[in-house]
Amino acid sequence: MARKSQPRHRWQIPVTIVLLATGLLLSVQFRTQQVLLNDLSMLKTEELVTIWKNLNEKRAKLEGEIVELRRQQRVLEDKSSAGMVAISEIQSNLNRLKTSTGLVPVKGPGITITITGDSPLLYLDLVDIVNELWASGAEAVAVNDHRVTAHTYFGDIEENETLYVTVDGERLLYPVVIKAIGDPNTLEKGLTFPGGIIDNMNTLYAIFPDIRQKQELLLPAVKTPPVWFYAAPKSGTAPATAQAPVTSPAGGPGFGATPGPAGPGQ
Amino acid sequence: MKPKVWHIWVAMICLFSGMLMAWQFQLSNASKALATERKGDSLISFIEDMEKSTADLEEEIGVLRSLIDDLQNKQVSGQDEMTNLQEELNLIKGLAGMVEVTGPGITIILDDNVAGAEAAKGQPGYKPERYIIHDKYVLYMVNEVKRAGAEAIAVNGQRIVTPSDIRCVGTVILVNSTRLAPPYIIQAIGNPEQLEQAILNGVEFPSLKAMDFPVKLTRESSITLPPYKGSYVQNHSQPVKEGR
Repeated sequence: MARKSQPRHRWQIPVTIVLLATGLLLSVQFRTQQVLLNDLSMLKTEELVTIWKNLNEKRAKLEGEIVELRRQQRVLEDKSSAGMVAISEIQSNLNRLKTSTGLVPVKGPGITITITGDSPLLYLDLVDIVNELWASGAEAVAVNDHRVTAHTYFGDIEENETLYVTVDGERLLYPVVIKAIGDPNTLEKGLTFPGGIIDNMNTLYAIFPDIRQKQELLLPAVKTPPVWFYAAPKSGTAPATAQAPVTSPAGGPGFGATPGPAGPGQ
Repeated sequence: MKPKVWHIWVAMICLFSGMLMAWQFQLSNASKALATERKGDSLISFIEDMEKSTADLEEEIGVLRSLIDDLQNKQVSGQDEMTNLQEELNLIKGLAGMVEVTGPGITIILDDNVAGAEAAKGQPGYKPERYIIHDKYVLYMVNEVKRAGAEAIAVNGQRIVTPSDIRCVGTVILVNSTRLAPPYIIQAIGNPEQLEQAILNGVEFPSLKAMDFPVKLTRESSITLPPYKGSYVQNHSQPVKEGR
């Protein structure tokens, strides 16, 4: 057995070497083949032309896509800048209306009219003065820091046999100071011309209001923004939420379709 | 020496290896030949250039797509802001009297005392101004209608807003600087009963009645007031930001 195994050992070595070499050769062969397959220079001219044509088509499609995307981009940019313009326009419009309706405090030049406690002042005098201020171009008016709006009313109440002038049901304390924003000269002239309201108050009622021009006045916002229970804006222009009494998030103004508990106190 | 089986095997493998080597040699020769042959071939460089440029284009498309996505997202949030602002604007427009309003309320009609004037004419002490409705009557009546709780008021179709003034030039009454002619019709939206009671038991209506003016008050189940058509001038006033 030992003798027989000897030659077998001898032939196994060359066979192993040969097989190893063959394996190496095979792998090298395979790699060369791969490289050659990937190399364009190994392709036939017609095949190259086909590849070129495909690429050409692909590039045309990509370029078309880019043109379309650029167009979309331009449209969107135009829209968003138009949107910005629209938003800032609405915002300035909103600010104007909020200022005019007394929903925000307002400052500016104007006049103050001070009426002292010894004057026989009636609430109708205040109605007249405020009306005259609007007629003279006032942009905002406040009476004792009570902002005057479309809903503001003047009245009086009797307490302990004394008559008190009220604004929106609140007692006015003396001195009554009326502040009006607008051109100070125009406002003053509107009140003080001969035969004008101040003239009449001086001569007829012995009330001598003191008028001063001011470079800067600050008028507060309304204390309670109006809430409507009966009046409904016509549909189309109405806010989407006109179904139930609505107040804005900040407890602001609103409209309601159902009657509220009561109107303003009297 | 008699050939053994493994001899045959080794021979076959050697043969196969030899063939492989030959093929390998041939292939590399051929490729060299081809490469040199096509060295100046512009087609290949064309293709390579084109591959590069299509890759660039693809990259550009990627960039554009993300840009467009950003823009679209921005637009959506812009639209939300727009809707909110528009809703707020509509609300404020309503309160500013710039929108037509409908609701229940009352109508007050003030007219000149024509009959009284006719009867008094020619008599001693006849004062024609005693028989006409003055701007103050309208002004004070409007103040009283506000006091009665009116939510919206119009005089002869002129909506009463914050800067509305009621005055006269000669015998003509102006509201919002628009000339009005008698009869003066004051329409107010609000609780009809509450308004009616307040006006009938107020100062102005009874006193005009006492002066024999033909004044009338009617409750309305639905009236429509036109919007304020004037402007809100703001040349001197500046809104002040509240501390929010």
